[in-house]
Amino acid sequence: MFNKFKTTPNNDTPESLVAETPTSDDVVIASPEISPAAVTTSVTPTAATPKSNGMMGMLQSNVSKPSILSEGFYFKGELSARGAIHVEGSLNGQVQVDELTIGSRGQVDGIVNCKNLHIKGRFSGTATCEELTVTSSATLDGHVVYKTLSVQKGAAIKGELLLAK
Amino acid sequence: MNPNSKPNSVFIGEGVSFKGSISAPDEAIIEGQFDGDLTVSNLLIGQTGRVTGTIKADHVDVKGELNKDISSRHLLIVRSTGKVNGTLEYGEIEIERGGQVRGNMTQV
Repeated sequence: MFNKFKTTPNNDTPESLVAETPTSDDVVIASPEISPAAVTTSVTPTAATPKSNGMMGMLQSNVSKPSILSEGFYFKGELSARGAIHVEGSLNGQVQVDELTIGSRGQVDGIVNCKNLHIKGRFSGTATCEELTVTSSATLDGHVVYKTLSVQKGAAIKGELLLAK
Repeated sequence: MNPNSKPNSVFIGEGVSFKGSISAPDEAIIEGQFDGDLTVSNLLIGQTGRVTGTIKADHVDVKGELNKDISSRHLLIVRSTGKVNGTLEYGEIEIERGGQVRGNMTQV
């Protein structure tokens, strides 16, 4: 819109506007993409499009969100997922997942096979994982095979912990 | 008396190997090798320490190795360099990341 104001005082008549605009330096520097025929109308759309492309590029990211079994939810059966699962409800059965987090109100009973197992609630059964984290509010009962282990003070562990090689 | 020594306590230094049983009312610090029965209030196993046998203690802090029957009435801490194998009885437990525990565990 500023381009229009700059050009109009120099060229009062509409005939000279069409002829002069390509040669005048002010216009070329300010908006190089504008065609001489449509000086006033095409200013806003051409300026806006490169900005919006940049924003879209920023928004494209691959952040995987965990699937959540919320409180009050009871699941019985076989569960398999590639990403992460957060359990606040009750899960009974076989679980195969990358990352399993048992929330403070969560309860998991069964056979778990995962990479990272994070226990804040209750777990009973058999688990095989690479990284096991047991927080202070957790109760663990059963067999766990792990590679890396950390247990916070206050956690209750009953059963067997085995180190995988 | 040596200012470093504490009453009712025992210290087994690095390179020392001991076989037998110890009962100390206070503290046992083990940097060497211990084989046998150990009844103590506080047991500290240093990074070079290795303890095998029946252990009864209130507090246990493991930076080295601890094997066989372990009973820790209060708190058992396994540090990141610690290794615990055997039957474990504990009041409270804390395992630092990297600490290794293998065996049956029961909370008392």
